[in-house]
Amino acid sequence: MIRFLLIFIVAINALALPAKASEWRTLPIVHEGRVKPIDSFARVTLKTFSGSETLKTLNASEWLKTAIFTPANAMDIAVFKTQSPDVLNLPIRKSKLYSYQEIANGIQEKRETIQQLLNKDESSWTGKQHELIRLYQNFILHTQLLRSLTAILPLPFDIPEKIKRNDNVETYLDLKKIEKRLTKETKSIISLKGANPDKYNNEELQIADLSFQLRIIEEGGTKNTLLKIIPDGSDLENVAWHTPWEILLDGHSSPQKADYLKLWEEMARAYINNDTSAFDDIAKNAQNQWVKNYKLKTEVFFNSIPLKTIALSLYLISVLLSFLAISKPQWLPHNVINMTFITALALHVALIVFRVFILERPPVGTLYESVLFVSLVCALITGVSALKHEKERRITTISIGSLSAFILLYVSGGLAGNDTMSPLVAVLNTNFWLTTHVLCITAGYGFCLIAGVLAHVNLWQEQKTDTPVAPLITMSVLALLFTAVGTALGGIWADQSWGRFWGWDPKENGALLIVLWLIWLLHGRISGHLRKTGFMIGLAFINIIVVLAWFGVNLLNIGLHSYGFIDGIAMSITAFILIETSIIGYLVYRLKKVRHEN
Amino acid sequence: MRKNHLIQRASNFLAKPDILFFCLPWLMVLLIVGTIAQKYMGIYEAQKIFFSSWIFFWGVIPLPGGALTLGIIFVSLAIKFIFHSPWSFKKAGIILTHLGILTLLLGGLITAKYAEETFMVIPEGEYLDSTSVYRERTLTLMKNDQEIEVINFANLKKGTLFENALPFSINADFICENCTMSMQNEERSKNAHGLAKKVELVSAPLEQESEGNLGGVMIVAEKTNLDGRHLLMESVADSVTFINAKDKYTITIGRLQRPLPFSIELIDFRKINYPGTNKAKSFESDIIIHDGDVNWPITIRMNEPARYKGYTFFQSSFVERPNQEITVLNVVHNIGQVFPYISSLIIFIGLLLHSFIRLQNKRRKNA
Repeated sequence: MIRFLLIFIVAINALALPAKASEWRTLPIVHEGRVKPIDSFARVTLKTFSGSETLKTLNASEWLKTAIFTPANAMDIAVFKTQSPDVLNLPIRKSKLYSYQEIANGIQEKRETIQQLLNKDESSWTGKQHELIRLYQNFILHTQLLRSLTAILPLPFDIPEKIKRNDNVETYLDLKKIEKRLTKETKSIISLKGANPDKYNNEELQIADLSFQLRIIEEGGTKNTLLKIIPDGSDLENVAWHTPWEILLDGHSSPQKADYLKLWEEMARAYINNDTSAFDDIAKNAQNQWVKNYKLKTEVFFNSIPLKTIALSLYLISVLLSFLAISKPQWLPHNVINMTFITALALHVALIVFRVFILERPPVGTLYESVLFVSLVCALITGVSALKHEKERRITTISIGSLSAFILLYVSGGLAGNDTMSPLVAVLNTNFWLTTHVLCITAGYGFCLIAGVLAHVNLWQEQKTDTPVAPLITMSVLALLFTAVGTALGGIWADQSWGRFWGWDPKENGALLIVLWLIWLLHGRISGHLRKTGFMIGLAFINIIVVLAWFGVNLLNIGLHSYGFIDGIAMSITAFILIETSIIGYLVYRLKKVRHEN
Repeated sequence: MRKNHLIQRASNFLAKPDILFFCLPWLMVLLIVGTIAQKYMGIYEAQKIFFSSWIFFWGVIPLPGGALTLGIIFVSLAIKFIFHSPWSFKKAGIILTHLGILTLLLGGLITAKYAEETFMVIPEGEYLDSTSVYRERTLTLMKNDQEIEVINFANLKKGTLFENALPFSINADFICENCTMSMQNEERSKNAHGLAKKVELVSAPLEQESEGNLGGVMIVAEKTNLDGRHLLMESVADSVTFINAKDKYTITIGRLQRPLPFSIELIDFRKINYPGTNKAKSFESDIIIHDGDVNWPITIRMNEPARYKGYTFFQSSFVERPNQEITVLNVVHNIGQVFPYISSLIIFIGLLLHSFIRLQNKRRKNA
């Protein structure tokens, strides 16, 4: 065991090393309502465009540096992913990734169609039209990103030698300082030679062009609200944040903010000059401007370790090894399976603990988080049960836990969206009720799912041995305890926030359905209406009831639980119900056949 | 003797687990159908048919509604609890859980019977001493700002209105529960006033949720200072005023008002956003409850209501105008409010005890 723990610690340290690479990744930014490290911003933004947190040749942070410090270079990086390149007349490509430049050309061609679509009701759009608008919105977002630091970047055009020498003009800011003089000179050129540029000499042309370029850069910066990297004070969580353009154009500046912006300007210069060491030093200096924020560093550390992927893989290995051990007991020492499962469980716990620390809330604020948590509950329940069992049953129990956790973690991927750490709507912004009601009801889901899977296993094994029903009843009682208390707590929360304990809202009805199903099964068993097989079949169906209550009711898009509304999973739920019903049907058929033969 | 025997038999029958065993699946069917129906019929209608009714009809077939099904479960459970409970420690968890469920159902009955949910819309710096009922509209007649007569919108019929209260004549010419407007024709326009000069009321299909309807009445006034057609429509043209012999008569259309035994003043409303977004982190209303000599300042937030004299005030919504913020408070008066709290606690203790006893028994058996 100790040997295993040592290996685990060394592995974690090895994985953590990349987090030490650069201070730049821990610089704070406000994005979608949350103060986060720039590393998280880069990952979420890149995922919005490409569907992934990394590109083949660049990680998110490096890509972001290119986009904001050298916009011209970023225009050629293929980051826009689309399954329907035809909507913008793009060439078909295996990677399905396209550059900003390619998208811009496509948008230019389709500008009229896009405008017409935007004037129409969204519900009338076809799938392709949705994709066209999604690409257009991403294009706008990318444009904002490319223009976010143009105020402090070297100007992307030639400066007349005279001005360059006398006024030391390198950036927009420098140019802004001589704006009045430039305007005056341009006016005098026009009054002297007229408005036709063909009559200007080279220097006059450059001066006139400078005034024009100044306005173009400024227009690009106006309303650029994406890169909010400058806070109003050191209390990062509770102050207003601004983009560099907001600082320059809207008069939000102060000496401290000007100094901080200067550091970003120096960072940009170091990056453009490929001076990595200077870049890191300036980033560290910029980081030191703020009170040590361990949460940001922890988040970068958390980002750099794919805890979920590793846990998911280990659960899968655990399932496969368990099945192998069940069918060929002599092939594998059971300790290997135990250790694989425990490692997966430890990483899974770490995943949840990190999220709790970073978000400062219980790990069940969104549908995605609830799936992560329920999968952990499933693994923990079986982990605790396994401790009490003999070798053979221990492996069966571990396989049930691993399989449940694996399936749920896998499913969570489809619910993740671009940002899995977004802030909660006002009504959910209460740690007390999240901790009491949501943790309780989701733990109840976990107990239900394990009871359901156990019922499947019992139906499978029933033909061989007379499987005991008591563990199923115990699991059902515990599931009832958590779901009933969780539902009642939900009612009390509803009474506190909406003024009524019960409103027959779809989400409430879903939770009640689970409770009623469990009560019916338990009372049916006690009263003798349900025999052992009937009880097991009924309990096997609890998985379908839980899925309907957990996800299905959200598809109705009605009621007060509007924060949970989703679309696009109806097919998956239907498929699950059909598959699950078929499996239970097959198990019952098999059982009857064997009994008949006996 | 025979009577006692019959009571005994009835009690045995009602306490049978069969009743629960067959009622629960029906309740689940109602739950599923009623939940899905909310999407298509509207939340209020679906709840009324499937959950609050004793009987509802599927075509011509009468079927037991949620209230009847829950009523049967309640009676069965109550008889089982009182006369047939195995009063032993081994069953203490189950007995407590059953008691909790009985308390919960009883609380549900009291709430369904006596609770009322209304709302208040208060602009910053203003007072209000009444609440508005969500689904009931009224036509109110006021003489010199004093309320004279109120007609519930549901009882409104074409013909003379406020017959005994007016020295002139007002006739309802057209009534719509949910109205929209069309252009007024030239002929009628000549004899119309205010908005009625330009538009005519037209019936629109009822909204799924009653709150979304905009009720309206086209009235015709005779022997007044403004004879002719007048339009009254919620949120569009709320009132019409006539002057008769120095008296001011005002007819208003709006929600039914419930007076409060105190008044509420909104001092400040705040919407606090997450940094850099328009996404609300919290809504807060600073109010003062004025009740005689009592002036009680309190802040209402999401998940933190204010309670006073049996009324509970919840932050429900808000309206932001350029120079003014308006809070919308949900007001609940429910004498059964405490039941869910007590019953939840009993159910929790009961189920916990039952799980504990069950695990202990299992351990003992294994030993």
